[in-house]
Amino acid sequence: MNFDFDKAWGEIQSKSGEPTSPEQLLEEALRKKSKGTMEQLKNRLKIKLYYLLFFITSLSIYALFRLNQPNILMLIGVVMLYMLPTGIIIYRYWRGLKNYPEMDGKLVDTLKFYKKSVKKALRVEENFGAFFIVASPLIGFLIAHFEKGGDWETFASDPKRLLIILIIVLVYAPIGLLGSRWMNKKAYGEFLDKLDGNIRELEIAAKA
Amino acid sequence: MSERQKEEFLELIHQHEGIMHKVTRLYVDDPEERKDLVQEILFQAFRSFGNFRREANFSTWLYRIALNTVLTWFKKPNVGKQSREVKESDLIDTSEHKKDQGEVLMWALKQISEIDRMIISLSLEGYKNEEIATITGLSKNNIAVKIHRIKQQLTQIIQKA
Repeated sequence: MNFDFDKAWGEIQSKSGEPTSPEQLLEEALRKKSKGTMEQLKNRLKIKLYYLLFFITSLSIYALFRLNQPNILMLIGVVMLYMLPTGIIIYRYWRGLKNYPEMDGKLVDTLKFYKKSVKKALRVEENFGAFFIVASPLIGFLIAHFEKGGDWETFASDPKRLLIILIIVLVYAPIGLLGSRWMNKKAYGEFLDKLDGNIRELEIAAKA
Repeated sequence: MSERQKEEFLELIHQHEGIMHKVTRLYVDDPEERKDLVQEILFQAFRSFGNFRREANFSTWLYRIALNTVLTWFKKPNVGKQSREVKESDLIDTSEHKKDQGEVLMWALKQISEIDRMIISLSLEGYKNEEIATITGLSKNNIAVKIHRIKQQLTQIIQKA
């Protein structure tokens, strides 16, 4: 039996049968790629929110056991005054992030908004982290002093202690700041680079 | 990639889109999965278009992208496994379908290995052995021998059916 391969091959339909144009297929492909990136980013921001929620909860519980110590409550209040708005801001950015790009033709705008929101949220979180890193040695010393029954006057009257705190802050703060940035870069840097790359490609592809 | 390049890319894709559909049909049965695979090929081609040298043949380049994408696709877990296995329901009576030689050939092609399928499809598509060697990475002499052997194998498969 001589099978006519060339004739058979010619009979094979090369069309998919569906009236989908390459432009539409490409748009869908790019949308799918961005969907995965958006989901990952939103999940990572959610983890940051969980951390903040954990700190807020922990501090609140600690405050409940220190209701008779106004100095400590004041310190907790200062930290909360910064932590709560930070958490709310990051939460609002997170809420504004969609789970997937809408099929409304505004892919470029969606991605630009996404990138802007995520970077703003991360900047807010880094600013909070910077404040916390610098303030935490001082807050730690103050709380320990107040726990032992001390007050502001006795704390401020000890120059040796103040000097130690100053040295710790000067040494610890830059290390802490660099360390937290390094950790963020390690956890999010590669992903953010990938996001930037994807967005660049998608921005070009989505331009019509 | 500039706007002009993007338009050029889409124009070339329009002219050669049959390549993507034919390649995916060779390897995937499920229409939805086939559509996903075509999308992936398009995406990979779009990403790589900046590296495409205009003096090369676009169809050859697209074929290479398509085949590489397909082979990578099958490395994913639980993707396309069903398509690669020949199910009893897939066996066709060639005597009843002998007018539809295309269907017979498509069925027989799915019985051979992915690499052999790639080689014979390129040959039937009209590519020269040098071009097939470029796309597949095999030597030109090896291609000629393989094509002959694959055709014999396909003939046997069709005869047995």
